[in-house]
Amino acid sequence: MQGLTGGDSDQTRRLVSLLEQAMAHADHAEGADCPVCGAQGRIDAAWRVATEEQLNRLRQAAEAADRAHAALRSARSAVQNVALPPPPALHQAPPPGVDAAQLQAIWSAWTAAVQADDPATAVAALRTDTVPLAELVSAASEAAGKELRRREDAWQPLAERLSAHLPRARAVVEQAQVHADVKAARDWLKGQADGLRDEGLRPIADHAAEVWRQLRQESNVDLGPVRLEGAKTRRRVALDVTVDGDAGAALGVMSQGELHALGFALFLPRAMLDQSPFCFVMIDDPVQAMDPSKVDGLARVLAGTAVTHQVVVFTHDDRLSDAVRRLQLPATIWEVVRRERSVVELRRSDHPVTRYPDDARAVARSQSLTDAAKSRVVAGFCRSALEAACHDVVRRRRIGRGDRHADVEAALNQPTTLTATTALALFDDPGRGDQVLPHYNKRLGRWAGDVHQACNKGVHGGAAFDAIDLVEKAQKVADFLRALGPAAAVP
Amino acid sequence: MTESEELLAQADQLLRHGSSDAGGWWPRTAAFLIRAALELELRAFWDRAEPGTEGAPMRAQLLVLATRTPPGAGTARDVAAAWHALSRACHHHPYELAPTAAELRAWHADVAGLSSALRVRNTAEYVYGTAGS
Repeated sequence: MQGLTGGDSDQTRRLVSLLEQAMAHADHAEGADCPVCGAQGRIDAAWRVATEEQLNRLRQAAEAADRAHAALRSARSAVQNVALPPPPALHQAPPPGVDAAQLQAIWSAWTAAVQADDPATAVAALRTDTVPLAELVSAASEAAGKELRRREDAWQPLAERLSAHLPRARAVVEQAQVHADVKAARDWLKGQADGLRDEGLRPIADHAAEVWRQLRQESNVDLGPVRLEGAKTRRRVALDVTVDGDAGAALGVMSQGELHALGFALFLPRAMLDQSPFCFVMIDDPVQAMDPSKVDGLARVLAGTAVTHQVVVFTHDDRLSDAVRRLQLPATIWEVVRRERSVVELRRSDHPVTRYPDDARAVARSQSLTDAAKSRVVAGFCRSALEAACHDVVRRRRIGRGDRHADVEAALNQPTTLTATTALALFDDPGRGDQVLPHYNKRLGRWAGDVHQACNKGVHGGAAFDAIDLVEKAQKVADFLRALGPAAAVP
Repeated sequence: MTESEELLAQADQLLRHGSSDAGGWWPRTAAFLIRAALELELRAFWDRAEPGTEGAPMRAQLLVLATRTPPGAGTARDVAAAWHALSRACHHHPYELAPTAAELRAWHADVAGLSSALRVRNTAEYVYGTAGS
């Protein structure tokens, strides 16, 4: 092969060309001398036959060499197509169990050997190294296939879930605008609802401020606008309460009574809304901890409420009923008396000045008491009737002339005896007790003084007396006291 | 049965059952009876211990009682407390309703106990006073 491709082949062609030219020269020449070396008579018929044979032989050799050349070229070209370098993937992500570096080295060496210039090296590599390499490659390929299947198995369930999720995700994306529109609509609706709520609250807030104005009396707490704040489950009422115009800690310094009154001012308008199906309000102990001046305001507010609603009030003291009587407000007062074992009695509650004599008469007529017991009790009720009449006079006089409620109550609670209380009623001075009996004797007669004494002593077991007679006379004295004018009497 | 015991018994009866004609008047009536019982016991005590003291105003009597053994300062304090509470119920006071059944029952028990304490005749019987003072 070396002979065909190398200098021998070219030399053969040059020799063929020279001999052909020599033959053409001989055809045209006269003599038989050699034109190259000048030897005589050598270009003859015998030379012609021998040269002709040599030419044929040489031409066949050249053709064989050309064919061998072409075969070598096509073989190289085929080898080029087969001897590819190892794929980059082998280096990047070798399948598990495969020594990628070793395979890479063997593969690269094989490729280099197969592509070598020396055909003998290439042939030797093809013959001896190809099968082991192929075995290594197919082992690696099998490992890769296995790994691929393993990964596909791992991926499969995820892919299924993903494909189930996909339509929904697409739907969300498609409806994003709808969502935004709905959100905007909801916000708008909420704004409208808040507006309506505030509008609905305004009559309550206005009414509450009006109620508070009537209840506050001497309080320096002001109630400003009432607002609803917060949303969903965290809603609250915001009160703008100020003390002497100072906001901040107003609620902290308000008295129990003021807080009660404030709560009442908020509750009442709400209970009286037109939307309420109830045409009545029921209030438990609104007077608690209220000072007396506020009770008057409360009585007036309730009287105003009673124009459109039935008003039922439960209370544990007599201040509200007293205010109702004093302000001459239309109301029915019931007294609830609870006996042991919760036996309850109801009775119309009249003014104490008439109720005590009624009680005294009932005791006098009762079958369940001894006479000794009756005397003491009847005297006690009669004394209470006179005291109540005195209180009536004092309160009417002092509140009428503008005294503060608290001062009037203090003056009423000061005397501890009937005589001092009567002196306060008659002369506006509890110290003039010694002038009570003379005044009675002068104005009503001696019997009135006797009644006064009997009431005083009888409770403690004084001289015997006719119980019914005492009641009637005590009633007369009480009526006299209540009829007194606002001016203090002169002893 | 002494008059004081009789009054207490009637008060108890009112508290327990009332009577067919005991309208709303029974609470104050019971208060009057219980206070009268206490005053009778106190009068009986002065009759035995210091005749003439019963004529003094009740405030003064209660102050003197506190200086004596028997009954001792503790009992005197209880007598004064019960008497003032009952007196409040027995006078007309602005804005005060009649006493409740529970209040009356408590006063009744107090006065029944104090009556026994006031009947102790000599210091030897008064264990609490000698131990305490």
